[in-house]
Amino acid sequence: MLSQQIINALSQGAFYALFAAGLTLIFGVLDILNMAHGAVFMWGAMLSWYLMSALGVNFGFALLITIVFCGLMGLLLEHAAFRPLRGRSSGHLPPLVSSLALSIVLVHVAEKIFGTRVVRYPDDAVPFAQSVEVGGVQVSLLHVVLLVVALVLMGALWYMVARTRLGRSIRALQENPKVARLMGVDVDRTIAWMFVIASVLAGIAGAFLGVAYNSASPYMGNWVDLKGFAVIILGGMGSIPGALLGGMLIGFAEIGTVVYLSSDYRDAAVFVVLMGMLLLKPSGLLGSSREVRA
Amino acid sequence: MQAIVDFFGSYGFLIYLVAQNAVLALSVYIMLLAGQLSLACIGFMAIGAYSSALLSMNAGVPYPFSLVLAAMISAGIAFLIGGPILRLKGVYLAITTVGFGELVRFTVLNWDYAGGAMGLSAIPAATETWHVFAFLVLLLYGFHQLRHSRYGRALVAIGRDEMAARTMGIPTTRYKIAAFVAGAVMASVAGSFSAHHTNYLSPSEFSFFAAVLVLIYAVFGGLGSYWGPVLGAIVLTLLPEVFRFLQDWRMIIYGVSVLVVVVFVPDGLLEVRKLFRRRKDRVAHADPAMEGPKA
Repeated sequence: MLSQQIINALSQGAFYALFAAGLTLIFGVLDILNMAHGAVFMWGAMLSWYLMSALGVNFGFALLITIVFCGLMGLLLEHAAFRPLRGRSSGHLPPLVSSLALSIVLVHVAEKIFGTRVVRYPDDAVPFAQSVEVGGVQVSLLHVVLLVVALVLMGALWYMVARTRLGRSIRALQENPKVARLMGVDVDRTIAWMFVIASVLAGIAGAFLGVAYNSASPYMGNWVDLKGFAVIILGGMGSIPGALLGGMLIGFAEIGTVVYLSSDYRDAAVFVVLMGMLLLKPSGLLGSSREVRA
Repeated sequence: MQAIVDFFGSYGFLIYLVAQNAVLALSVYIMLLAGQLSLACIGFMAIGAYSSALLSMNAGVPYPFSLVLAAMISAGIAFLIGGPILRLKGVYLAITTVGFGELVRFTVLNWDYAGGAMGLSAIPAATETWHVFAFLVLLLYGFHQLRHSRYGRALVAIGRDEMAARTMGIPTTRYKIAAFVAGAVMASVAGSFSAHHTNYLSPSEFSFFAAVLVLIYAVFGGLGSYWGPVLGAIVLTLLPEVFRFLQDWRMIIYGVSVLVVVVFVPDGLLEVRKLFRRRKDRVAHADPAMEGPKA
């Protein structure tokens, strides 16, 4: 029973981490909170649901289309809400509000296309529905797959930032945008790629979490935005391993609250953990002091 | 005369809402003035609304007193949490204050005495629309006085550069806490008004999204002066009504309008005139020392 809960907490935490990885990547480099990240996540869930239920395609194909679509959405997001404000000296608020405005648009477009109800995935379309035996306990295969997918993607993201050419541009940009530009980094292109990657990760997280909970709705983006912020603060802004750690902490805090207290306090637990930690260590668990300044 | 009565009959609630949202936008603005992005206002609005409603329903406290008591409760809570919370900067502060708002919402949601998920109904009606307008005028007068006062200038100094302000001898922590408490009182009074106006409260009114909308009012209108948040609240409260004939397209129009204004006039609607000035002036405004408060 306990090991079952641990698997649940691990897979849930891994998926919060996956969602938050895109947020933390963008915040770490640009010092900007992307408030439309949850809306992209929601589109990932709703679009894959639509493809599976209305068009009857299988999960793999739906996921593929979702990835392409959410990537394009990231591009749109960057071009509409962030690029026009880049280089202006108006502070951090305008990009925050422009991404909020775009997320209102995305949510209401989804409402118009998919309806306002909470939807369920078609039974035969849910992949990995069977259970497997891991170390003597029955565990839902879907949860194990979730955990593996999230860990692999986080690893790939980390590899991309640490080892590839694009990653080097991103790190240069994080260090100093002006110098990066002088050294030949195509700043606009690098940032556009960051948004594409972040949005693809959000879309995948949406598609998988939708299937795992077997529910999706145009309004699911808001709560996951909140969780994502909690995750990146817990782990330390801008740190990908931090996002993983923060996601796991939240996953365990939630499952722990549900098991030992009551599911009523599930969402409150996240913020109690968050506020408690901030009072002890204001820069997050793996955050450097660089990010502490406003 | 009859025309005025009819007009008020159909649009009374909207007129009330404009003033209430303006008060909320000002409660966010006072913190932005000090460069602090706090999204706690909806949490304090909830505390004000629930305290005032519960006091008048269960303890029989008359309306003006319940309002003042609720404001004192909010001020006390803001004072207690202000110290630790305001040590945080930038988005850390923003997200932690969102967390505060959510904790307040969870509390009323899970607390049977406060009506739980069903909310509170049959709260005694007492708020007249002019109460909110009177409060708004009072606040505007206060902000006008603040502008040239020692305290107001200190807040702006903290907003521009907190470290420099401290070096100049401004007790930054104390001033920030004072602004936080003032904002909490404004939001709390708006909440009490709302409880006794609609006679009904539900935890869902105090969501994260509501907090975010108030921030949008302030930034949309512009932070250059206290008129900006008021203008933002007026325009954005009326906008969905103006586009009501478009039915479910109107929220999309709303989002697009906010996006367009923020992208083309990042300093807010109030600064629209800047667009028509000559280039020379714009260069002058690019100088960081010339800018208004930032968060």
